[in-house]
Amino acid sequence: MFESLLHGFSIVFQPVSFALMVFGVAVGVVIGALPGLTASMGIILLLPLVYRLPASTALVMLCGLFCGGMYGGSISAILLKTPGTPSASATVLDGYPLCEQGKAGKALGVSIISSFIGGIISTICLILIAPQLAKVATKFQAADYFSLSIFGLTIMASASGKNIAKGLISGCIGLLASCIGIDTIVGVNRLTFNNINLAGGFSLLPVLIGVFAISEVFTQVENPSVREKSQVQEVKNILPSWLEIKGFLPSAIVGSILGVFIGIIPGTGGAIACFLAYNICHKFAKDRDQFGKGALSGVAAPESANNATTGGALIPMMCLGVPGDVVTSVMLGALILIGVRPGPLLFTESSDIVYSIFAGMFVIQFLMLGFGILCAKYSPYVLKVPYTLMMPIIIVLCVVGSFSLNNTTYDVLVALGFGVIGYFMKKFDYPGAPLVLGVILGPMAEQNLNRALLKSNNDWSILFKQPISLAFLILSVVSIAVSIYSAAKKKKAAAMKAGGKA
Amino acid sequence: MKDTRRVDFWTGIGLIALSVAVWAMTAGLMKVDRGIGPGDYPRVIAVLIFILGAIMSVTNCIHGYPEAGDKFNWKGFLRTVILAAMAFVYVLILPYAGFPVLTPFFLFGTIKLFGYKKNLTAIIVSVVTTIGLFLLFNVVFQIFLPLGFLG
Repeated sequence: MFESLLHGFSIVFQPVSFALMVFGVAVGVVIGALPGLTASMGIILLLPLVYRLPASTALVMLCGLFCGGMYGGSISAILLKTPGTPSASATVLDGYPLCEQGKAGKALGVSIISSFIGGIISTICLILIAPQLAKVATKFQAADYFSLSIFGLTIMASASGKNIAKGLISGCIGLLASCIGIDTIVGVNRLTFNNINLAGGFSLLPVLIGVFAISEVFTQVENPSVREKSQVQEVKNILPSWLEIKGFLPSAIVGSILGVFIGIIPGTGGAIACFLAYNICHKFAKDRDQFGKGALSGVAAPESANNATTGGALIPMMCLGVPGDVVTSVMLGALILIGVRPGPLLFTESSDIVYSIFAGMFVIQFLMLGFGILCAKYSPYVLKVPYTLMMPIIIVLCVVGSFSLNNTTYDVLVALGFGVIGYFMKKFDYPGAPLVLGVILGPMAEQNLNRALLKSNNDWSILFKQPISLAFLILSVVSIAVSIYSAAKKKKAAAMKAGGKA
Repeated sequence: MKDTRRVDFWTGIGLIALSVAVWAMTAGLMKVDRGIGPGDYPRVIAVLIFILGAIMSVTNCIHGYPEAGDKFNWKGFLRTVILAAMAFVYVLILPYAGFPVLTPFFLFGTIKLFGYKKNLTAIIVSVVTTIGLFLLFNVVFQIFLPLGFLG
């Protein structure tokens, strides 16, 4: 393992890989800082570049963007009271009060150091846990993979929206979209309306671009001038003192550990981790009285937690092919575009890719720390970029990105079509991530179900007879049941609150 | 909180219609003796969509059909429709007019739609972005963007 890791470092430190990793971190921080733009959108915009690069180089660049984006979200959370990404939502609670007290630099410093701690701890966990999980996953059979696909979809559907039915609908629409084209088992046209373009099905890149990037531009144009006149405070005195570091360090470590384990659970991610870490540290931190008024621990806990989800989220994606959150679902798509199929075999067939990701994640944390400290002073300028100019450029990038896949305008039309679908889904609270996951996991589910049924002579009970498959199916039912129960509980609480007011 | 019950009710009806259409369209596909045939998998998904559509319609109607939802931002929606229409027209004309000629107009139009006021800056950004992207893709990535009548 140690030798493989050293080989990974040798790949990461090759000039092109290193330069692109720096580029990934820088783009991630900038994109994360701009409200409305997320790390997933950043990855999508870089995809046309990514699939022309060697897999290891491309992936470390995307990991850089992922981690940079997580930290970047805190910049606008602290300076504008508007989280750049949902993962920075809890950072607003103490980051902005610090900014109001003239300590914006200090808040950014705490944020970057905590993000670094979270990133390092999650990378260590990634290196220790992922190979072990992959070893277990090599024992999976066809029925297990089918049930795993169902589990991935249900957990993403239940975690990514307020309404489980809407999440499941989104996932089913994705599965249905994956059926369009020539059937992979028998080879007949399916739901193509005799259209030659549809025979090839929908490529993943236009779907990703449409659902995550174009839909966002369509949404933003509705209220375009909201953030035009934001006032941003000057940033100075970035580095906290040793005493201050000692004060927030326990919160950062607790946040990191929580973040890693939340990241591992498929369908969760930074937004859940940051609030959970904030609430727990609020109860146990020494400066808990200051929480909400500008406590450094109140910035450290959510920031370490959201960055710690990065390594955690990569674990199920790399070992099982099931993403840990929205960004890793986009990264899963990127891996497939590059020609790498995530799963346990990745660890045996492409160990150089796996270990370059491990090594890259380590280096990225240091790059992010350096970049964050050196550039914190200039972060207010990033927030002044007129977003009324940026969004039109993004839509052209989306057009060019979809076109570059096969040099046809058909893919661009598909991207625009999914952009319209994504816009309406966003407008009416249907999460987009299960749709994309349905498109990704659909073929895997169909092929493995077919294999399982062939092996068992069409005995559907094979799905319940194999222990791993049964466990995934039970977990799927539990995730749906928990989601329905918590929604009902919230509804009851809201009704009681409304009744009390009346 | 957004009240989307009216839309959800009609989405449910739409999903039921979609599932019936998928069921009908896959009816003629070949059957297999072992494993699953090409029509079986979409049909399983169609059944799921039917059930979920029914749940959406019934749950949103169970307390009576909502009289009115939230006030709709028609002005904002119109801007989205215009942008989507512009984007579709842009893509359809792209092979004939070419990327270098058409993109500055599309970009300028989109910038104005977003409400940016300085015309000169908008023109400069439109032209510079087009040239930059054209050079990046054609020269660096060797992806040849459509030239239209110029090619």
